[in-house]
Amino acid sequence: MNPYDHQRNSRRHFCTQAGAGFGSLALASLLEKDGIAAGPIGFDETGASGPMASKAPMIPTQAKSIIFLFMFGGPSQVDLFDYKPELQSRDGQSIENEFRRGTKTKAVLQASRRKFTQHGESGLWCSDAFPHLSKHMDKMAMIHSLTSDSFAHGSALLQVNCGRILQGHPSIGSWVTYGLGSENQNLPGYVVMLDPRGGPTSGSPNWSSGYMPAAYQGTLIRTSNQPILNLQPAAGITRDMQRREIDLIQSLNVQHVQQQKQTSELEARIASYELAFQLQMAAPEALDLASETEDTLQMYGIHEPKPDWHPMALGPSTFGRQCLIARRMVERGVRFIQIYSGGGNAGGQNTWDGHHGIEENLQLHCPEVDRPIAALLQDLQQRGLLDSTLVVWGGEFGRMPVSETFNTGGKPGGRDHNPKGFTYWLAGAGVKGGTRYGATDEIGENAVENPRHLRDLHATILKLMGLDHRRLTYFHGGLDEKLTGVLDAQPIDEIIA
Amino acid sequence: MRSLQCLLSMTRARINSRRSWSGILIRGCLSALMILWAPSPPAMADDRLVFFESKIRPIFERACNECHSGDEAKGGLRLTDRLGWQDAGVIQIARPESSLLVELLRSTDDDVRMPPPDSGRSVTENEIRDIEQWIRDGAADPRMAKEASFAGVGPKRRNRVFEITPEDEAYWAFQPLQPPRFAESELKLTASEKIDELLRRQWKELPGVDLAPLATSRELARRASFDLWGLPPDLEIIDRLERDPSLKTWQEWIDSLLRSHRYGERWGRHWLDWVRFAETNGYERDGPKPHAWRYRDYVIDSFANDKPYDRFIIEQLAGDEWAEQQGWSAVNDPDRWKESLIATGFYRLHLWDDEPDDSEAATMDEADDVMVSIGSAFLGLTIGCARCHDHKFDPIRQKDYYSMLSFLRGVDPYGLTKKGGGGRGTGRIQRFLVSESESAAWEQDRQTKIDALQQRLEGETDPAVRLGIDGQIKTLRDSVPPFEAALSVAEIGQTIAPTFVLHRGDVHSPREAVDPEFPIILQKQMDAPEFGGALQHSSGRRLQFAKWIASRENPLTARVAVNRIWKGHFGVGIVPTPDDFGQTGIPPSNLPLLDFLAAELIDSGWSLHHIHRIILSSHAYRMSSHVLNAKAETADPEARLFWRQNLRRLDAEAIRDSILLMAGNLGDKRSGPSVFPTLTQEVRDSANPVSLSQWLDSPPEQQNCRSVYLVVKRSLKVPLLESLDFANSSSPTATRPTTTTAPQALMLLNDPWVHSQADLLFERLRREAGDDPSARIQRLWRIVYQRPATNEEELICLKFLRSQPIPENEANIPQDDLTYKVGAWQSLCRAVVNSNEAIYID
Repeated sequence: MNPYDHQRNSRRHFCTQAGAGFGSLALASLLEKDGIAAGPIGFDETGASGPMASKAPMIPTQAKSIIFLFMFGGPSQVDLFDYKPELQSRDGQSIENEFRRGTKTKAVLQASRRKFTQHGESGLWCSDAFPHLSKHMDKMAMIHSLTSDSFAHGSALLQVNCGRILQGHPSIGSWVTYGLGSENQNLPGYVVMLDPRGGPTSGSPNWSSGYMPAAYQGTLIRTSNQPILNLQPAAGITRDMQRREIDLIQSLNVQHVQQQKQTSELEARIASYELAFQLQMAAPEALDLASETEDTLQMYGIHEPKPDWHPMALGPSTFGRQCLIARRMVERGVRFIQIYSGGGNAGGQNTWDGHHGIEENLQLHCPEVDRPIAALLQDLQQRGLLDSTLVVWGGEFGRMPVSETFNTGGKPGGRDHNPKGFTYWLAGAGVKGGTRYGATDEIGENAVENPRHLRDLHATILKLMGLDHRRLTYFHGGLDEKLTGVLDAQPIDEIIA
Repeated sequence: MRSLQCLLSMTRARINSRRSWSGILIRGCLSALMILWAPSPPAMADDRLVFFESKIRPIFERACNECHSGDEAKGGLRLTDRLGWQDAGVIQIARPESSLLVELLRSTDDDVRMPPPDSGRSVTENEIRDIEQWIRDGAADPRMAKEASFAGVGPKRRNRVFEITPEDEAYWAFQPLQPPRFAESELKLTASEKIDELLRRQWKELPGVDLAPLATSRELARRASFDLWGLPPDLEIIDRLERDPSLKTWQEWIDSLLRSHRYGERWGRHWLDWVRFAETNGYERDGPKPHAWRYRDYVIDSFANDKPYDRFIIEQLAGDEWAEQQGWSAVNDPDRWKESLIATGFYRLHLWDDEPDDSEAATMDEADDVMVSIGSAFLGLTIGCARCHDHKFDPIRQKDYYSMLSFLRGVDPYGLTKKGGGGRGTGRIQRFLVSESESAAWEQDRQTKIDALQQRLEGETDPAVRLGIDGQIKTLRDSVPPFEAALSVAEIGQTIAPTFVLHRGDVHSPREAVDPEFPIILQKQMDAPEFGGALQHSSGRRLQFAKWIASRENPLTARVAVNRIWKGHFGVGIVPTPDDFGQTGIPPSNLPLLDFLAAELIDSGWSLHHIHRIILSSHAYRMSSHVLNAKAETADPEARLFWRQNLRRLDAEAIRDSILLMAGNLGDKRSGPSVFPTLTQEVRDSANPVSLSQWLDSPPEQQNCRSVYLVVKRSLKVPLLESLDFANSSSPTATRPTTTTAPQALMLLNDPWVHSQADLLFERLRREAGDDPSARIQRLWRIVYQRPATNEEELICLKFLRSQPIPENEANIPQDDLTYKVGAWQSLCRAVVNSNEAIYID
């Protein structure tokens, strides 16, 4: 797994991001139409070519797609899944709290205002913040003992997405599509959907392909208007007119290519226009919920009105729509789908960054994702897709068990960042449902039982997707780079079925 | 080639049992072959890779790899990576019929046939045919060995205990330049002819392989114009070259291209790729780097003025110290002084996290970023690999890394270091470009005014007046000195704290202290320049470091520079990995040529223009890219040995700039602060609000500037450029990947900017060619392709114009009159701009 030439040369990458299966056919017919015999055209007859062509996994796996639900801002584990009776009983006690690396201060423990109960056969804990999601605990493997390296949003997001706290490395979606390609050549293989309140901190470096070719970069899919940048023709130009324009480009291109000897790149570019035309149909089709039943739309909460109790509240309809689109993408063979909940500047209640009152924050964001995620898990299962779809839930870090008072106007209630012990859950393909792995200390601050670094989570995700984090390498700057970096990582095998 | 035939027959004779054949003999001979073939992986177009991945890899994995893998691979043949079969010599590239692998697969002898019949594995006839096809197509195989088993081919992992081996000392990139010799009869050859001669020498043994014939005047004009300016040529030059195809006319034209600012803009942008230039810090706030555009202008001017390359190096790495040593100051030679300071903006281009988790570690990461970029941009070395341990492939010790770093450790860090993160302050990263006395005088004047106001304040009781005075004081305090400023380096002082080797690169685990010293492998090759001693504000170390890099004795610097120029004119370097001349890179396809050019660079007084000039006047540069030479095609399908030119796609900037030029809309901005193009609502809707808040659209009349003047913001790249493979701007980009994607097609078909330019292009047609459809088409062809349209092309266009329906807003025009179908014409303009012929250079 080391495409030696990606990095080291000027050899070109025919990144027919929307593949070539269709393109070669279209081109052949075009050549025929122009009375030219379709010669060898640079695509093999099996269809797809280019870096997004589907590749066999390294390790046997059921997983085909991954949906990464990213709670931007840092969801509070002690209010959601990581139940700590001792924290509940020590509300108001003073402790010494390391709130930034190496910097300690006196702080006051703040019990969760949430009620926790055990659910399902597994008896996994979930608070009343997620009344719908808590019905699906038996599908999840909870990892309570993750740690990472940064207290700050920017670098912590980069580490979750790209494996490093430093900018410039490929994101996990890039690694997965680099390793596996994608099943559908008419849609992007790696898509990212953002919260309508804005993108996450740092923006596009979070779905960048870093030093890999741009074909492995995440494609932003908007759920309103044009899902992909410049997807539709300008105002006044019909699809038919666009088709004619492309036909003209192609007849000029066909004339041109015949005078050339080095033709594969030119052919790839010819194909890319056909694929673009195809994408104009395929992308809206994947996003069009008209064929979904009323029950389905209800289940995802798509009809729920925007609540009026808080100016930032969205209710479940946006995230629900994105989750349903994610399921449709999975059905169409898209490899990697990431959805952000929370967006815009960190530090406000527009994200999960609950400095200014954790209760208000939970009341805002939990209902936005609760029904949609529950619906997604149920829907995937009903359709037999959960076995082949890995669902990952988490944020860039967790939150502190202590109250953060300095920027809530003296009111108790906020919680600060915590990368020292936080929770992720996984469900679906290959995941041992109903598992609880690792634990934080009695107040939920530090991972103490089976602490695992974020890179182990990455290794786990790759393994579930059929990729070996040690062998999935990319040559750059004199080094076989890996998502998990140079320090050794171990998949968390205890949560793998 | 004959030796290989012998070899094969010898090998065949040895097959009496499938387990007894040996690779040893083969290897010795194979290395001879490698000289011709092995600028490492041969022929690897992507469709071939796809073929490998879809057809060949599965066969190996299913039927072969269980036995043929690892150190204990059966028969000494590994099929799990390319080096395995290369070492064993079982494949003869392009010749399945002579490849042992095929022979073994096809053998009817049960003792010989692979896979062994008793293994329960087999390969089908179709699969063998696929393998034959794969070999015929060049045996493209992307799989690298984890460890090479065979020195000289691919990277060999070094011993754990560091020592400089004889192989290290003999490694080509560390040898002094060895310009090739020329026979008596060749001495009268021009430098350009010598380039051709050095290329031809490679094919002495291969009759029928030679430099391709010359390209047409139009192809040549497009090639040189795009290469040197990033813009299409004007028609006049094509006519002139056609009328007078003499070398003299060609050279005069090349000279005029080189003397232009346009050349500086084009090649300056290349340099900006290599040093990962950007104007913001990246990370959460992605704050601006003040005055970074001055560094960009400095680079452009340096290229345009053919600044000697050694001076270019010294200015960037030690301009402040150099100026001081030369006695340049704001008073004494202010121009050179300013230029030298602006150049040191080089040290401030790196990513900077203003809220790092660990400030000390972050400061070390930033220093490493600079070190890695110096290694990549100037030396072609992957120095960064030695930060945590001795380099695993090149003879660079971890100690060498820190010894080199200590030359730079006097640099005041970008951010002020605070324990525990949150180091948001900014270090001394900018300087006023006036004398200290001038800035002090301004400062004093301000203070005097503030003092006077404060005195008035003391005697004043009226609250309204007090408020007014307070306001004036605040305004004065906040006022920015009215001086030009530059992003630049600053040193902590004359003495520098010691640099330590850091265990595993961890800033909190210092080991031995080191002195500034050059890598031991290069100490043997060249003397260190003298240390000039501390200067008034700095240690003077960087100047010594810069002089070492800029030395004519340094075996890497000139080679790296000329290789990049070659790559700019052929699409691929003589060393195909321009930023890695070490073991993990790919060796030069023609070392004598590389050394010849490097020596020319030094002997010309480090004139980059000279290198452009001699390359562009060679026959090799002027060859056709589309000729038929079956012999050459078989021997070297990717033309790594440059028997033909390469077809190349224009890069992002050239595509955007030429669209502007064709539309008659290219602005004349030549310097100054960067331009922010208007973002579409679609882009705004999904951009990070922090990024957007810093994005203030420039006035529309400024937005038609060349792409090099558009802002480079790390968190929000200009979408058009980004989609067309703009530099990643975070780490040095020696080679931009060229991708071809559907989103690119959508961008060029539907982006509002493309539409607006196509509309202007149509206006231009109407202006210049009047109403006649045929005349307009001819004009369009001249503007975009620099040639007349053929009859057939004209017919295609007319047919298109006729067929394109009339949009509602044009419903009142006569249906049969093509002249007034504005929408159709605009569509035609877009189509032509989108076509491959416009986007590719032959």
